[in-house]
Amino acid sequence: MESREPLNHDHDRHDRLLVTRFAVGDAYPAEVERAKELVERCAECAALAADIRLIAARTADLPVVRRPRDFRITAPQAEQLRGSWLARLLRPFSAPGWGVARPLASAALVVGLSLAVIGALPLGAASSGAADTLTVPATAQLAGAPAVAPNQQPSQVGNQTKASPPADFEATGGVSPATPASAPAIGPETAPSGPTRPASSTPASDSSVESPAHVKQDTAAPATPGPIAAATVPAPPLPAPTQEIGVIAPPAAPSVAPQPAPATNQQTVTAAAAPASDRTLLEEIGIGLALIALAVLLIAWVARRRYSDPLIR
Amino acid sequence: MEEIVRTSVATDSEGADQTPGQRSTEATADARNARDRVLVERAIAGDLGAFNELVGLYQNYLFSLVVRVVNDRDSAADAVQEAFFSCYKNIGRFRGDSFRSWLTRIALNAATDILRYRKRRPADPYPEWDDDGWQPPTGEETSPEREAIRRNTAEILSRALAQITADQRAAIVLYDVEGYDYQEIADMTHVSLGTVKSRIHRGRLALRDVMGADLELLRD
Repeated sequence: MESREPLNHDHDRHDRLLVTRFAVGDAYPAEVERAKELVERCAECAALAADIRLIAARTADLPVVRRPRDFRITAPQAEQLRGSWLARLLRPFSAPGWGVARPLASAALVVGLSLAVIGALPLGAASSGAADTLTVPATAQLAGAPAVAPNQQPSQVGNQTKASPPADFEATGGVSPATPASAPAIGPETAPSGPTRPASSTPASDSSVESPAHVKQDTAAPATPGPIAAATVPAPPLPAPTQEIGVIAPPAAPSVAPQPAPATNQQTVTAAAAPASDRTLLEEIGIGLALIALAVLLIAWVARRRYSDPLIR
Repeated sequence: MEEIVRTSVATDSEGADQTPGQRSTEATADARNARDRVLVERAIAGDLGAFNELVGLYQNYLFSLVVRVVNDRDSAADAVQEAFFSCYKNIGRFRGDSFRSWLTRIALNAATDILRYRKRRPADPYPEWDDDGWQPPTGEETSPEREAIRRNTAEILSRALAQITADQRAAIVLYDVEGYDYQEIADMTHVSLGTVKSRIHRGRLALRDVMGADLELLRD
């Protein structure tokens, strides 16, 4: 049987906050029984509950406090509060809701700058440079340009020039086949100076103008197209650059060779232009994005500094 | 000027009717919100008179609320004025149903700023009864004796309210005096529902402890 003895002696250990909540009907369902028991069996808890009810009731009856003055706004005050056109324009940007714009704009700024940097990096230039080399070997290989002669520019040729010398080169006894006959035939238009192409990077363009044998040699011994061409064909003097392509063309189809050569050059020029324009576009997008983000950040910063209202939060 | 005075008297009486502990019904709240929305739209369009109508409707309520929170008439007046200035500048940002709640939030922010400012320099905690401007409302049914008791009760309670924490005081005034519910108070004071309840209950408990023997004077 449950004991109903008074709990007065133990009041200090009673949950006064529970009794307070219970007094105004805010006790949680799980604690109502416990609160009810406290109020019923502890006189001090019962008095506490009564006092809390009294306080709540009397507080609600507190009288109105009369205001000391009229708070209405006069026309000059209103004009001053409205501020200039700039203030009216920028004030909305100082709203707390625009706080989201700042991290977004910061992120956009980072992305924009990254795009701009990526567009301007040497990595992008390398692809452009590779595209440039597409034209160089085509003409240089055709004309046996001295710029790619192994004894002149070994460092530009790269590691591949340090590979085993081509069989044709060895066959000629190590003599550079850049004969006087082929050198003047290059001409400034057909043999532009520039980095030499790694042979493996443009097999398609080479194969379009070279015989299968040349392709094989070129693959095995890169960056020495001039000597190869000279060694394979006895380098007949060619009057015009367009006819030099015919020199490389297989003897079986001499009449076809002059025609594909310009087409190949045209293709390489087109292929080179595409990555360059992509890179420029990427850079422009990045710069544009960064500028927009910067403008948003600047406006938000100025608006926040000058027109934010500390009471609107 | 006369017009302003007449309007002031009319709105003052309305404000006085709204203030003392009457939990407004949903219907009256809707009607009030609809009226406020019309005035707010006019104020946004540049009608200063419409905004001043809103000021007239709420200045008594707002001052009465703020003065109980900051315990200083001058500071309360400054806070209320700042709140109305801020409200005017940013009225275009008002979103929601209750202009009264939005205005109350702004005024409470102003009051909180004042409390923070004064934290290191405690002011006179009992300014209200030193000021002749503070008067309880009079009604036809109230006798002088009854009025004296009521005033005494208000003094005791105000004295006790001044001695509890500002957070507890604001929550109790908003709940018991102004009639807001827990959720509204939570929205206004930027705290959780549980925190509001806790502040109110702990505040009442603190009031009881502060009043001590004076509590007997509150009983009829």
